[in-house]
Amino acid sequence: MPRHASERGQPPEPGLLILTSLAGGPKHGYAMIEDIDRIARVRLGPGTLYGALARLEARGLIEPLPDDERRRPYQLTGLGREVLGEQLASIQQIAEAGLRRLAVV
Amino acid sequence: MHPRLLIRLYPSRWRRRYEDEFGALLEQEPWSARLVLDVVAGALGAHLAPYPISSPEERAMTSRRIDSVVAFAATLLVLPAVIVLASSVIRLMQPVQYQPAHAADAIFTWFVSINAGPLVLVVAPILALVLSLLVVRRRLSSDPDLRADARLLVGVSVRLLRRPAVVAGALATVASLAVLVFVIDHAIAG
Repeated sequence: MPRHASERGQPPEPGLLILTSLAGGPKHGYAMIEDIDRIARVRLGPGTLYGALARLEARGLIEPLPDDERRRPYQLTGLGREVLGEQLASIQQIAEAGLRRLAVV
Repeated sequence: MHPRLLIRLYPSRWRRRYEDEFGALLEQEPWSARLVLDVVAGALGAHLAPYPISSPEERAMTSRRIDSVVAFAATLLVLPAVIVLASSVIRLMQPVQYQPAHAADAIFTWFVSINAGPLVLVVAPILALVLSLLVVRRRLSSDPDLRADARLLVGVSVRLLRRPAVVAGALATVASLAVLVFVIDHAIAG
């Protein structure tokens, strides 16, 4: 039996989780995995994490900072902050509508 | 098999960009079949990735190269105007049978004959100004050391301008040297 609801359904998209994690400040890969595990109870694998990081970086939503002993921190760009805000607002709208309907049923 | 070896499954371009930091992350993760599957899937995704992968250093170098080319182009754009204006002044400083007035007069006469005044003296310098300002803005925004140097330069200039004696002294020095060079040049030519 899954220990959490997120394990029964589709986990959130890794890109969104990474952007959300970086909204709290710059982080390197391991810190992101730990942070995402804490806030969303989803443990991203290194392959998944770096696949998403490369896509986000190519889209200009995050940017690397100078590395610290092989561990390179990343931070949100202005565009990344904007896109994350829009995505979260959209999710919030859907969530509120869905929860209202569930309560009615 | 150590998961670190799995990095070799990734494309070489991806490895050049991410190998160090990805390797450091793998060293912190406990080995498991799930981890291996995740890395293999990541490698497959990297091979199929439609987006460009370049390191911050590569991007910075490309950006510096682009700025150098644009700055060089701006210099080339404004160079004809500088030559024409210098020629127009030099040809008046001496009789035209002497050099460099002779060459300056030839350049200036040719420039007048081709009727390119608006293009060379207005359009090209405006374009050069726009391009050079763009380069300066881009470099200032991407280079913290340059920003610090620029702030220092502005600070020093402002402090100097607040000392009228220094400004007057500097102007007098430059003017005196220019007059002396002009007089010596005429004395030698004469």
